Amino acid sequence: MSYVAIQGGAEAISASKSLYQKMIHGNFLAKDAQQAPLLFGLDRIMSEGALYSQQLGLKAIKSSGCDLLEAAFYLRAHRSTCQRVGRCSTITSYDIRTIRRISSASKEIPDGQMLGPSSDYILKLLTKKQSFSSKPTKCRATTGQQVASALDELRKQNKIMQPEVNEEEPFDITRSSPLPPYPRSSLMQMMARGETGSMLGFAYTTMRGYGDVHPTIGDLRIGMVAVVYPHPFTGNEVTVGEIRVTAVETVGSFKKDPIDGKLRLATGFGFCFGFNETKAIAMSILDLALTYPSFSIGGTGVATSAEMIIHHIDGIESMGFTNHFKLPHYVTFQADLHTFNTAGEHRDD
Amino acid sequence: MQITRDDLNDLLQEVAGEEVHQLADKVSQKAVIHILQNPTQQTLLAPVLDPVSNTTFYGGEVLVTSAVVQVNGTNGWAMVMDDNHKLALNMAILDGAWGAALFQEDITQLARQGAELQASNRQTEHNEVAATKVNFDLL
Repeated sequence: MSYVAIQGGAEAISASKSLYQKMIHGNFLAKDAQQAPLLFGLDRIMSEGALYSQQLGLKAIKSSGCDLLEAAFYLRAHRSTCQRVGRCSTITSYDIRTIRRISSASKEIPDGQMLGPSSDYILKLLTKKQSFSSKPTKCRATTGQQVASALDELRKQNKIMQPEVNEEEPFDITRSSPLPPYPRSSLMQMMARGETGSMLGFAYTTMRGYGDVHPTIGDLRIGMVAVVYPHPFTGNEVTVGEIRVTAVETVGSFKKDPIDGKLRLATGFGFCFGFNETKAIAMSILDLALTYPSFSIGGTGVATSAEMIIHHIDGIESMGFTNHFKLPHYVTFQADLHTFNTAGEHRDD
Repeated sequence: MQITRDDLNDLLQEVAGEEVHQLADKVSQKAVIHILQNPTQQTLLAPVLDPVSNTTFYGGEVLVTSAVVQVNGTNGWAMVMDDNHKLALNMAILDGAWGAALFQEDITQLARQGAELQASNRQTEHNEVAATKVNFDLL
């Protein structure tokens, strides 16, 4: 493990903290003042519920008394009542209108690093009042341009592996259950709507005793991306609106590429609705662990099993199964008790 | 800025819903409106490009509300974000009116307002973000 000491950036850090405070107090991005203090909770349930709806998300949080697992359940349930009218145009990381973009792999990246609104530098002390300067800036960022990934240069140099995937159409786990060998798109879809805590837990196993994934964040960006859909009468694409998203590309270690035997870097991808860096990073780590199991000691770790991940990271399913134990199990328990008593009688014999 | 019919769906969502409603009301008084599809909640599946494999996967679904109308026999459509029946219907009427060459100047003016508001909001947002641009020095 090697970190590099850095200095500078004090003004940017101060602006980042100030912008974060503005964001969670409704003075940056949010059009709805109610939403701002609940922003990260709202984003979390929209991604875990797999339905992007800020209005219904807020309603779900209120209806559930801020139980976020339950709130995500409301959204997931609502999704199943709506007609699916089609697919929007494919969302790419390049198209994200970034409000935060960092890389821990390279200091110099295309279009530069922007700390954006972040709690990374904020002291987590409730007792101490923290003041943040909010000096207006003279700089101007570029607008509406595609921003290349910080890893694109390495891709151009053919230094990054591209796993072979033979899928004409992405698998849709909401329409049918995937079977092993699990299509990559089914795993990615499952992780995009996975529960943040479960994914973090599994990803953490790969860094501690059950794996050797210690990735570098190649490109992390949060921002807004347009939802584009064709106008039925003009036939042209129109913008329906914008959604908040998080996308992360991480770099693992290098490996022999099975295609030509050359050494290349392995990468993982994480994406989710809303601003949720922890989930997106965890997803990219799980992607690395699942795609390249050799990163785990002995080639087998908890998180290298697609079976393990695909069946255990859905918060709504796991919450439902766990909570179903509260339902009356009188008959099954009486049967167990009867067997137990009979076994006891036979033992006495 | 040249406004086209395809810009309306995006730009009219930027202006206050009441202004869209008032203009749609004006259209309704001058034209024959038939609602072909009441505002309906629907979802759009969101495919995401996976840069690792250069394939796509589904990131989730986006809730939208869409409506279809006829304005003097010309079809009009709108699809707005989230659960917003009134706005979807009013915007569909304006889309149909544009197609039927009715109130195009008023609609253009409203869309321009939306474009200006959008540009100004984005510029403010970009300026705020630009202040956080960083280039750490290695020690």
